[in-house]
Amino acid sequence: MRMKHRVGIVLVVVFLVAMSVTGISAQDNLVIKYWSHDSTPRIPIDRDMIARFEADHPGVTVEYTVGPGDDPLYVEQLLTALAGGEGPDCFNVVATRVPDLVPSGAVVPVDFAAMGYASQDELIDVYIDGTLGTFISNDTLYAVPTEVGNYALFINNDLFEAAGLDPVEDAPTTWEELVELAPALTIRDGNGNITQRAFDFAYPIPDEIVSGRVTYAGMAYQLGSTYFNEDFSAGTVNTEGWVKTYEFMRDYAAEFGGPALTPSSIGFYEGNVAMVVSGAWYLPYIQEQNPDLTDNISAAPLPRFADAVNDTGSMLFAYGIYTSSQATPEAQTACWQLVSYLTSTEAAERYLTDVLTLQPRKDLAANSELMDGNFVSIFLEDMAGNAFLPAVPGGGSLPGILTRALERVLLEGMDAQESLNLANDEINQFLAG
Amino acid sequence: MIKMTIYRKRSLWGFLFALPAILFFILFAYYPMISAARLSLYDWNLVSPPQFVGLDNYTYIFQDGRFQKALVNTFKFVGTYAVPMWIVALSMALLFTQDFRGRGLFRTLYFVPIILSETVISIVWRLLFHPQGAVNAIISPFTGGQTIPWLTDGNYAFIALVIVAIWRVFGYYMIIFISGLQNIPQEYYDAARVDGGNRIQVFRFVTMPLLLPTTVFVVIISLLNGFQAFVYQYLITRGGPNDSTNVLGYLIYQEAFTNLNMGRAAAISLVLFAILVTLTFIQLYLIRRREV
Repeated sequence: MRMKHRVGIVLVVVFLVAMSVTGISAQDNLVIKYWSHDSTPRIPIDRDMIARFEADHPGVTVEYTVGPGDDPLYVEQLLTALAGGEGPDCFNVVATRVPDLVPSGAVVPVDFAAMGYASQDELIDVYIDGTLGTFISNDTLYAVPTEVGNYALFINNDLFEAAGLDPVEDAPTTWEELVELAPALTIRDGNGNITQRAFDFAYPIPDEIVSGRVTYAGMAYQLGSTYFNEDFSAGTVNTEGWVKTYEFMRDYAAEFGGPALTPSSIGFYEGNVAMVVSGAWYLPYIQEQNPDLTDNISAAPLPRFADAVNDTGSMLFAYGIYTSSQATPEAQTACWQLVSYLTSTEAAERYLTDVLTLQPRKDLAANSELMDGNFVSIFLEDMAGNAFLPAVPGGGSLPGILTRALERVLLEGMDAQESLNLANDEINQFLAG
Repeated sequence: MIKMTIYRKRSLWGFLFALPAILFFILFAYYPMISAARLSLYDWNLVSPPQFVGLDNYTYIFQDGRFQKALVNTFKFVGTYAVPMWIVALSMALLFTQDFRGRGLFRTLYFVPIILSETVISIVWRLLFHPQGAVNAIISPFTGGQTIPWLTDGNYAFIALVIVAIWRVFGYYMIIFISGLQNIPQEYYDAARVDGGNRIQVFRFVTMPLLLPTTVFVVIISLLNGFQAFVYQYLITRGGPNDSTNVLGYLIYQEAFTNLNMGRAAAISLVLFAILVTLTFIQLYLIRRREV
């Protein structure tokens, strides 16, 4: 009996010691969960910056999770995790979903002090004017950008030269010029099927990795049309700029391309599409898929309509790092400290050189050594005056609405005005709640 | 009294043995169902607190053109997938109950698609339906070299999904029909032939009635699966183009995770549930009436 008691006491003591040791380590080691959408070439940079953060902050460990590169899928996983109380402490996400996060209190304002700034204004001043607008709500900054981007024209130099064209001199500056160039760069087989396309849009079809609406919303904006009226009370996608854009796309697809063919972003790196529209990030992607092509590519600003009222390129999109309101105060502080590493000048320079992704820092844009001759500089120059993709609550349905409108025009032959009227009705319906 | 106690004891043991399954159903079937019914009365975007809106979600979806289109497409999909699939599966079952060389091998080959992941199947068929893919290459002699836009034309995309759905499951239902056919005693066939019945009469008056329980099982299960279609619509066409292949299963997903309208998604799922329950009761009623 005594023996049994002793064994029992020893076991209890061992258990308590183990518990206390575990308790101590758990208290000393703060683990923060950071999620990011997938951008494969960026991962090593993120890991390096996280390792440096951890080295400078002993006792803090970062669990880095990379989600799908497909934004809707990533947002779906993120929001579901947040709803279930199992979300990350901080996360990188596309800014168009912010209106779903900020009003609900799911994210907290930027802790500029934790990032080493004296005030919010001082932090904002680090960035190129206007590039943080999409992250600000009621004068409060909710995220720090890891990427602000736009689309420009990618040109296959070899295909241009084979057609007797100069990829720089003959790059189209207007959509009308692009149509004029198309016959020279289009090749068909004996049955009339297109085997080489001069240019094609990124249509919303499976396997297309480029978002078409960044381009066609930008085209509509060139003609003075936006998604919404000024007070966001009604849609405006049935206005002239949108109608003309959709008619242009319909007429172009009927003769020189269309969604029935291989996605243009794939056709381009396979060497049978001479021009596509995409973001600078597409170049490292091409390098992965077809390294031989990488050195034969030029970039040019996005063409404008000849009668454009806004001399702008594509719409702008942005990704930023947010911190969850569900995180503990310690985790929130650690998250903002981590953000200062992931958005530091060094990280921004590596994002630019290795991934061709632009963190819109003034010091980066002013670094002529880095920017001069850099592929990204074309994109940066073409950014001026462009509008961001709109961010409204429930805005996740917008791409689908415009996609269906485009498909009605391109594939079912519906009149563009009629199709966009239907799309506008859908937008008004969702704005009305 | 003693008998009653034993009965009670046995009942208790029976209940205890059934308890894990009961708990499983309560936790993973009934609770989500009741939750969905409750959620359909709320406006919830996953991150904000849910707000009670009564029957607004139902009012909305019944006026929504996309819901109406998806509802029609769902019935269309079930009709165009299920009926041909039953015919193919039963025909193949009748063929494979005949004795011929290589029968086992062919049965296995036709059964293989059901064990493949639907994701893999979707990826493979997307490649096959590509404008320059195998399907177009095979039929090109009949189309004069013109490519058929299998996945970018609404009508063709619908047919493409039906083809994929039938291709995957007919082998499975074929095996079920085969087992049903093998359970029909040979004596009935012998008696029918002695009575002078020809092949069609034997099939009509012997095979079909005795195969009824199997047929009922196949019909109910395949219809239920058809109404819950989601994977191919999600992975092959994303419900497009212009919602031409969208079905209720995929619309629920879009409302929930793309549009963040969890309440509307729950309302649609309850409508789908009501359709399935109604359909099942109708089928069971018809079968019982026939049995009587």
